[in-house]
Amino acid sequence: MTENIKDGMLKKRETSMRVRSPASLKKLLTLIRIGPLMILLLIIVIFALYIDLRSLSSSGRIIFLSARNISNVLTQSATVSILAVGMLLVIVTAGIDLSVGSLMAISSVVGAYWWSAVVLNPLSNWNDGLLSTLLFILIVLAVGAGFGFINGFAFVKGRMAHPFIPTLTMLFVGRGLAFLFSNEGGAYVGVPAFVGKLDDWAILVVALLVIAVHFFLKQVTWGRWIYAVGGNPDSARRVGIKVDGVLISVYVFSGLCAALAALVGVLGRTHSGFPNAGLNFELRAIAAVIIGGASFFGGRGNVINALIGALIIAIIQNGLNLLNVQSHWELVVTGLIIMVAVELDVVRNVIEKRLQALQAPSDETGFEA
Amino acid sequence: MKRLFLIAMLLLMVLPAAFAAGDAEGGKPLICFIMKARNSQFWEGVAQGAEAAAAELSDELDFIIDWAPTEADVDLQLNAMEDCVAQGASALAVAPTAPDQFRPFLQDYIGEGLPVLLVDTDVSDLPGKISFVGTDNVTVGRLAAEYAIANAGGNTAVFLEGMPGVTSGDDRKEGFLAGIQGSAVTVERSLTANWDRAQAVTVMENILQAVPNPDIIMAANDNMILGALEAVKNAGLDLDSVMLIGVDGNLDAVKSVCAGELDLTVAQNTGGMGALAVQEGLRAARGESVDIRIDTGAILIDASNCADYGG
Repeated sequence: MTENIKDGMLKKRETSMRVRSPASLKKLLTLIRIGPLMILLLIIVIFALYIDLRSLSSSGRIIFLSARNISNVLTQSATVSILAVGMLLVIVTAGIDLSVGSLMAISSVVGAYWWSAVVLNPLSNWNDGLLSTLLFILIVLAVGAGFGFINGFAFVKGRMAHPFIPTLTMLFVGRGLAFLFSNEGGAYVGVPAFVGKLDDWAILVVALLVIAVHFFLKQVTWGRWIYAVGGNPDSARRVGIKVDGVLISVYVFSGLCAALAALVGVLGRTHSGFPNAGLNFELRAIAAVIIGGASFFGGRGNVINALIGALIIAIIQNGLNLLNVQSHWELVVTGLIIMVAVELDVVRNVIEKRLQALQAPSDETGFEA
Repeated sequence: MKRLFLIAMLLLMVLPAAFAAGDAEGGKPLICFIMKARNSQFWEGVAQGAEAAAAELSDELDFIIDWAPTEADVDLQLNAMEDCVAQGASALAVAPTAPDQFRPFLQDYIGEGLPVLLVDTDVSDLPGKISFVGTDNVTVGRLAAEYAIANAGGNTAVFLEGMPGVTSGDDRKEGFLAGIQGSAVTVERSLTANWDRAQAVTVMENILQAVPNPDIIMAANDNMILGALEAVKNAGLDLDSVMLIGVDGNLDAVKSVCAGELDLTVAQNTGGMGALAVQEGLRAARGESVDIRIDTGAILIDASNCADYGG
């Protein structure tokens, strides 16, 4: 029923576009493909003009494009960027991971608990050295990956209808455990000196992660399987792809990214682990991936655009803060941009279909279109 | 398409210029005030006090006020603070939602020479902070005691404590005990009801078994005194012969005061807190001396003025 309506809408749009030639359609398609980048640039230009022209004329300084603000906004965007990389892989398999915010909380609390109970304990032989730091990082990552595995395993082996269900469960369970594990909802203060400095290197961490995952998706077989599973799980299974393994692996990776986000954005940024960490960040990560043009139906999306999506969200927040606009407007604007991004994706689908329709007969039969 | 683009570009060029014409100023110190949120009566009161004070001082300072959507959004409050400071703040007044998470940032700012004032919630272990501007809960307790001594019909008092170990509740009790010293008032029972209304009903019922006719019932917050009120009503005591005192100035409590049930609720001076954050922030920005602890005082709300506070 919904499919019928959708087809009807597509047909309507196609007729309205019939007048265009294939060449101009191709141009339009390229423009839409770089849509997220265009939105990012447009937002930067608008904020630069509004904020910096104003401050230049009043005080002779630039604010938005100042080195300090650029470094601030990149660091602020790091958490969502890291989460978005994990979320992208999940969404490419047509899945969703609602638990990442809660996993940030539980992994930061467990790591900081271990550090304050064991290493900072005056009776222990541990000190802030290489081994304890490595162990700390390992514990945090293991908690994230472990809970991610439970998500994936419950979804695949539990034959659940949709990953919405196990990850929604984990959203509650993870947050609840984080509160239970912390001092009556308080925080564990103290992290390794190296982790405390991670915040300053957040941009580098994001860059390395994005490059690594980009390479993995393009060059490594398992990475290409992720797209195949998202595009069509049945045919993927038929050609011998380990669909269950691929599906579980993306949730493990998403959990791992949540733990990495906790290392950089919670433990590194605030030098503590606390149960309110990462509140609502799953929604920001999903928004980043969708603004970055990935398809909710799976099979399409790339890491660079997901990163651009995360940057768009962070820059909107930063720019509106600088304009001293009520923080509630940030939610409104982010919501509207999601709508624009998804609409761009719909238009793109229509144009691609139209192009195929235009080209197919002329290519195969020699008739003029 | 081209024409649209041209028009858009023109608009983009012209609008900021229009903005710029509005505020051609510079050289004034920028005071950043970062609140926890602005989604409650309490924070609205603080914000309005701060905005009014900043408007009055607008010739001498630039003022930015910001907050997170809710008090749980630690990360967004940190972002708001960073974004304000990046605009060249001369002083920062901040009410941190989570003192432990704010400490590393505030340490950095203090290291860079930025004057930092804490508002409403203090951050311990923060050498170099300029001041803590907030309610002194010992004063709150003392004011309640003085009111009780002056207005109650007798000298038998009972006290409902807050959650054990929470400083604000401990301080209120300490202030109350200090306030009744030298008077004839004695505290016959003092028990915790964990800030909770339902628990306060039970605790008060138990207390009434041992102390059947108290003259003064003081609770460390409004929730608990409203619970105690239920117990007192259930026991059939005459409300006119019992003085009931709460703390916070919650709307529920203020309405109950106006209805002639509760006698007093001691409210934090939210408007004054916001105003002092701005005024003392400006003094700090100018390098003038600021007290390390500034008590923003409290407001006594009883039958004489409850209508002014929404009752």
